[in-house]
Amino acid sequence: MITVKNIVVSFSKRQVIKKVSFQVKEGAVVGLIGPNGAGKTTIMKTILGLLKFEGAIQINGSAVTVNNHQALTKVGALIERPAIYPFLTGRQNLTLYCKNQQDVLDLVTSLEMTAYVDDKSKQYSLGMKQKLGIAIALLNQPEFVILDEPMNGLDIEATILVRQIIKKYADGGTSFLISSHILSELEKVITDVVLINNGEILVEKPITELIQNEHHQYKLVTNNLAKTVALLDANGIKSENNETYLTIDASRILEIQPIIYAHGIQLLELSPITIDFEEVVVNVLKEREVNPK
Amino acid sequence: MFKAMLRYRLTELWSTVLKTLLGVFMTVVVAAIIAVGVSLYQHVDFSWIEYVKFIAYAMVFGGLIASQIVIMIAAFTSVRPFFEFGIQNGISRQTSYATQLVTLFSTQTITFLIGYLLAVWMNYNASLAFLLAPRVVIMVILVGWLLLASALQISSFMTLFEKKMWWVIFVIYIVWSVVYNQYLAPILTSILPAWAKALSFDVVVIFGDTQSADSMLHVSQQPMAWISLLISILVPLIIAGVCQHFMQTRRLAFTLRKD
Repeated sequence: MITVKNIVVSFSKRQVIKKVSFQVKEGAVVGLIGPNGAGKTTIMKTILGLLKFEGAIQINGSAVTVNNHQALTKVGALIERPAIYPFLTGRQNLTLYCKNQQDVLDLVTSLEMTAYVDDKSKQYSLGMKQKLGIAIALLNQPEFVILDEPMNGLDIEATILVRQIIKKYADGGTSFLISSHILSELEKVITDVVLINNGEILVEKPITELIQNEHHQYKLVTNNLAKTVALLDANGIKSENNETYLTIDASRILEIQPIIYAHGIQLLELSPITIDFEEVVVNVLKEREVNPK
Repeated sequence: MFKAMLRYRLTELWSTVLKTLLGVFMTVVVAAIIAVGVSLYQHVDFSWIEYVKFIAYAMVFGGLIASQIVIMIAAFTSVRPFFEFGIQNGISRQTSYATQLVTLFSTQTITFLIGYLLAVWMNYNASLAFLLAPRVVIMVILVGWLLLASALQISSFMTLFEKKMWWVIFVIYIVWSVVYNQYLAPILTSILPAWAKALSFDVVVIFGDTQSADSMLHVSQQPMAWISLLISILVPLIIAGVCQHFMQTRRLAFTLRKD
């Protein structure tokens, strides 16, 4: 388990991470999400002991500090772009981090790198370098893996491949902390969400719970929308007219049916509006902008 | 395309190196000017030509030191991404630093040893030019740089020497040769202490061959040999330690390659 407790990171006396706390449990795949400049990469670098910080970070009970990286022996990470040696082949780069050739071979095969793994890495495209970086992060059976924008530069097939590998490792007990701007891809693999903005955590919960809680609107269709709107207004129920249907806040649903039945209006449809993960994140960010803590 | 690429590589690699070199040169020149000023104030009997020569000596001598120092600084400040990637994936900073230090130390030592042994051999064969002539010194330094570059995987550095940069090196070689013969050699023999006398040992006893012993002794009596030793072994350790400290605290960061 990884525990981050009240970490504060400052650059030139400016706090960029403000008392952030969260946990990554065994086997969990946590998505660290936020807009540009929110502090995602800074948090990841801090967990890896690359930045000075206040607070406490523990990886499986061992403390991580700037000068003590003992806890990182079972950690793999890819932050920003991988620093691979250009005059070494992909295989040689992998061997620098893992002497076990079988492990190297297994990852090369899993990530479909066999065709170019023996070419000098200076010839690799962005996507190939990214795959190599992910492979290095997954070497030595890590217990905790941090990936910052892992899908960056990957084509569709490679993206699916990486997603499958992450799931396979997570099922085996490896914990992941992943950040990505491609929320549609992230949604398919993460189990928990940590949403951050301006160096502060806005939300920390399982993804299923987050999406479920955001189902707060319903779609209403009647045989007389104009009259329905007027009735709802008269009863203080706000609605949004979308021409063919109305959008109603979920908290007032139970009040609507008696009102429209009493005035002879036929109810044609009343169903929850499905909201996807991207919309949830956007809504939370907007809400926090309007109502800051 | 080639011009654009060459301009990029020159800009990205050498701008940092040249800025540092310029900084060290200026420091040396300022020091020399101060020394000249002090001499004037104290009414020491120097002619103006001597003042100019002294400044030139300082610049050239400083350049030799500066070039080695710059490559050492660059060697360590350019490897932050590799060090950090290592830390991310289980290789401690200490391990990366130790291997980096061994690489730098090894190449500098090899550069010196090759130079020293060649000097001994050339001195043994009296008909050949003495190794520590400037034309050889610059080639040895360049070879040393190439060894460093390949050890440190600085790809832009290697590419620089793949194409048409050899004519630039040849020009530098000619300029260096003239400057060394005219200015540096006299200042070294007149200003530097007799290190060889203080540090010499009885090589005849060790090797049993008078001519070999004489060759080795003769080379070891050259101040340039000891300067090379100092630059090759002691200075890298000091510079590496300082760079490692500053690199970790982010107070010093040269960007050698835009990546």
